[in-house]
Amino acid sequence: MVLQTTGYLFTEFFSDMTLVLKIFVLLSIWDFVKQRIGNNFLAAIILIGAAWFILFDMFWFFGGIYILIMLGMLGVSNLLIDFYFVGGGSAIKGLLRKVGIIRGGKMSRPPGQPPKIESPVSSAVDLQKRQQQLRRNQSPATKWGRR
Amino acid sequence: MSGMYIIFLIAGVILAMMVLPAVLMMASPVLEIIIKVALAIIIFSNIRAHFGNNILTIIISAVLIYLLVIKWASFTAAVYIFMFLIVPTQFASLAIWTIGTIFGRE
Repeated sequence: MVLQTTGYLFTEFFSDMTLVLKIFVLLSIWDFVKQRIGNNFLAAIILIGAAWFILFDMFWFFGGIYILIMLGMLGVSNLLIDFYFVGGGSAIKGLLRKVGIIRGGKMSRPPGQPPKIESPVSSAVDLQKRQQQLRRNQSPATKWGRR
Repeated sequence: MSGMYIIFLIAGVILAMMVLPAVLMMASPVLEIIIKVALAIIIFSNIRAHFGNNILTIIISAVLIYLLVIKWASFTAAVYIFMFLIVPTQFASLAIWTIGTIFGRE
């Protein structure tokens, strides 16, 4: 009973949101045709043809593209980049490793060699740790300069 | 594995910000009306900017307002908060940067 109700709700929600998305895609087509062709008979023909093709024939493709374009225009990609830099890659890698998409443990390096900087600096704490690590790894000759 | 909790922390903070209007709408009927009216005005002005002052604007606005404001108001409020307040104002980037700076890495 609960599953049936949940499934019904999900189906109803999905169909409603599909209709809303189709209306917004129609608005985009309308704007595109009006801006480039104007208010004439040719614009109406192109509008009807494009709307039929995009909204009814290939909506499974253009609906997803429209959502991606809108998310990109609003700056969600910046959010993802920030999200990645906070972890410096290690958090994302840890998650992928736990899920099983990638394998392996921590990166090993030969003894005596300084650790590689594998990602951009993500925070002030990160920068401070890296500077301390670099200072620790420097030899006296390089630390005080050549004479 | 290190730093994995930061992902969930950031996702939790952003989700909490998105869910906030829905919680407010459930908590107070006055706030519910205010948020719904604001959403309806936004939808109507957006459609009018495309079609102008004619019957098409009213029909399409009515359909969208019924679906987005009356039927799925909590979802619309959450999406609106996310897409037009959190992301364009870089508030999410600020939250991500702050959490990353406070909790650091390893």
